Amino acid sequence: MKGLILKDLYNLKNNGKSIIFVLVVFSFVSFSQNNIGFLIGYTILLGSMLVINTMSYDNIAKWDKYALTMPVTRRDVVFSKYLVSIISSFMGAAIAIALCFAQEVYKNKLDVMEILVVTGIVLAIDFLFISFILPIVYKFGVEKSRIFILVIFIIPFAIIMVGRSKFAKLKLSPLAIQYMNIILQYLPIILLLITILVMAVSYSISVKVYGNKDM
Amino acid sequence: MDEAVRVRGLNKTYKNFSLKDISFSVPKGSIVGLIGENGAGKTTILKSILNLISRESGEIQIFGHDNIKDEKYIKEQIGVVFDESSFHDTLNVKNISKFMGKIYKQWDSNLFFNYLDKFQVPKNKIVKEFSRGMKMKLCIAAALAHNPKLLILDEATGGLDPVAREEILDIFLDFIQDEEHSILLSSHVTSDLDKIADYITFIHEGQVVFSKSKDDLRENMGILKCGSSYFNNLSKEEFINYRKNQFGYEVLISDKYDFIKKHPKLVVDNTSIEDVMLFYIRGDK
Repeated sequence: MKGLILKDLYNLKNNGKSIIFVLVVFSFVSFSQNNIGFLIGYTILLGSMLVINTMSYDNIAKWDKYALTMPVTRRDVVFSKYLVSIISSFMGAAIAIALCFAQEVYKNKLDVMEILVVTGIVLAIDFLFISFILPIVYKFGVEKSRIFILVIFIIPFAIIMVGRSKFAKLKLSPLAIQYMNIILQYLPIILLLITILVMAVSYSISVKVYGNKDM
Repeated sequence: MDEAVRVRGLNKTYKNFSLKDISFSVPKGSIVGLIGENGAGKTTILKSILNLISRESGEIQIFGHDNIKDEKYIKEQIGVVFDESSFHDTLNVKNISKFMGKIYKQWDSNLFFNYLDKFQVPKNKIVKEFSRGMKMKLCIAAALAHNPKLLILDEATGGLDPVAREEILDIFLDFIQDEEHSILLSSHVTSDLDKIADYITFIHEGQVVFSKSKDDLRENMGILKCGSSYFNNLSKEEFINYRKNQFGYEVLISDKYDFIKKHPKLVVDNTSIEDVMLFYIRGDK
């Protein structure tokens, strides 16, 4: 298992130039726009997308067929991909936080809490995103899944856009607002639990799909 | 005799192709060659042994252990080489040694680099820059570096020049010096098997046509060349297959000594694995 993760990290490192280039572009865009949400969101999503890249590298090398001749179970292979996605998301988060810090310190308006909250929410969304994507990629392969990835990318944005305009018009009763506040208070924990649950379900689906595959 | 690999009654059906009741063994300390045309089912058999594909029925044992139940234990002791490199283009040999060391308990990086030295595989290049021969040698080094007891090779010498091929065959012969070691390899390059195999299992259209020791095949089988008058006098039980050409008939005989006793006037030549394969596939009965 450690070996599989190490293999992915080497592959990402050796393909690292383009990733750094994209990061630099993101930082510039967000710097000019005064928008840390953009920087955090894209950096973390970029991080999690890297796992799809590693699966694409594996495909090209016909690695999986080879890996399964080693003392490695199919479960290990799938689990390593989930771990790589988590690792790369956290790496993305660390880079995003550092970049935001630098930006806000430079602009003299540091808001640590805001950065951490946004990072936390983006991470949660990102893990949900991974949970949807990975079983699809295992089922249909990297190339055919690209269109799904695009759609899944667009859906949350669409919901937020539509939701925001509807939500603004909504007049809530005091009781509802009270409930909302309670929910908001526990939001981090709720999000965390949902994320873990969804990821666990996603993992077991991926294992099943991958387990039935002839190499 | 101890068996390194034992396959019994293996069945696997695809849409356009199926393996039917495959049974054969790899005795410990020997090299067994699977021969057959492209698409005969050699790779499918090897994949079943490695549990890369599901099967409908059949039993496969490696070192006496079930290949699915004791998969991890077995795979620590198997080295596998496919017909093309399975390492990613951007990796270098140091990367490979590092992560393979985390995968195999018995990975020996010194041994790995020794093999690479011996095979003259460059250490400062990435896999993408390797020639085909280099890639195959890299894979063979990787397959040997965890001290396996069994090598499974699928067309591992395909596409190599004769020099590289002979080097690789020498490596295999070296490996087999240890009596605990065994090799199962598939190839349609029959000359390779002529050189190194102890046993030949011939696969045709998803079935085992025969499993024989190579000596048996070479010493006992023979090819009779004769005109049509002689051929017409032969009974069908006396030969396996025949081929007709413009000069007359070529006939594959299963026991040439027996045949010569009965027909002292006829000349029976020796065979090669290639002849036998061609007779079975293209000959008439």
